[in-house]
Amino acid sequence: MWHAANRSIQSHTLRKGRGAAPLGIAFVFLASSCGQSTPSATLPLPAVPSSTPTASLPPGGPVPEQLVGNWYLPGASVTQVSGDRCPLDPTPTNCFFQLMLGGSTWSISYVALGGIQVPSQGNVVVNSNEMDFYNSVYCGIQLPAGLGRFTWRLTAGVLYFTLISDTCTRAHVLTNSGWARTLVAGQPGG
Amino acid sequence: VPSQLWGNWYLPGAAVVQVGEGTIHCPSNPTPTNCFFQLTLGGSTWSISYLALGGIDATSQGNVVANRNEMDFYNSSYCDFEMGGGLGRYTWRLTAGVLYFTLISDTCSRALVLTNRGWTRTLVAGQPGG
Repeated sequence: MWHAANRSIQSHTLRKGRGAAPLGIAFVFLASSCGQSTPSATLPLPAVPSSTPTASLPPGGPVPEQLVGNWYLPGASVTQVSGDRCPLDPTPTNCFFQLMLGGSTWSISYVALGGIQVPSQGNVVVNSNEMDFYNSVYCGIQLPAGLGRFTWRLTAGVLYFTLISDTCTRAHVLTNSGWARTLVAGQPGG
Repeated sequence: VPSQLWGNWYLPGAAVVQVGEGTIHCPSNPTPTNCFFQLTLGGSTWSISYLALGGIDATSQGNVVANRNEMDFYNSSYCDFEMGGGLGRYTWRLTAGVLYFTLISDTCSRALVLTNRGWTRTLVAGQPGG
């Protein structure tokens, strides 16, 4: 069944960080500084093989369990960061950023007027209050380059990132505002 | 893939719920823009994602080739088969702007989504979706 297999691929993705990133027209802010050509309006990126951890991994371990799952930014962040527009009837459930944190993987996607965009995904390690993002399919830079270093804090259930350094432009999204577990009050989102 | 098919195609929330078989739900206030399947076709790539109560799920992606009215999907990270083992063969037709797939053979379960119903270019009438 689709959903059963879906769970399988989700856990599979969490373990191996596999997958490809359909690249939307609106994520131009990332392309400008990631050494990647301007994205096509319609062509998704080709499937990219899994990122194999190497000896040059930044120090750290898996994402803390309390952070695993989906986190959301509202539509205001989508329009601000991506330049894409929300649907004509914007609601918390049809226009938002989604950050998915797995044990060793992350992905950022959003939904807006043009549908779903999955512009960025890769691997992550956590060392105390530092979270390091690397091997981003979108940024197209493999370790040891392409490392994004952020501190994180969880305050009243809201996840905040602060930039330490990043050769890619993830900070536009990650530090835009606090990430919440829900799209609307009382609705499970992750 | 023929250029006329490039871009995003959509199925409504009813398809999401049907394929999810009780495990995937639309938001409590379902609309065409907050619950849907999305098929993205590129020149040689495809992806299927959906939006539902739990947010975005970028479920499946891989490569595709088209040969006349046949479209073959392979290298799916979702199906996790090597090429050959995970090949999905379908015929396609475009009727009144709606894209339909018919299963020839598939060792993966893509057909549940691909052949569920016709794929449209818009989420709601008059709103560009792709």
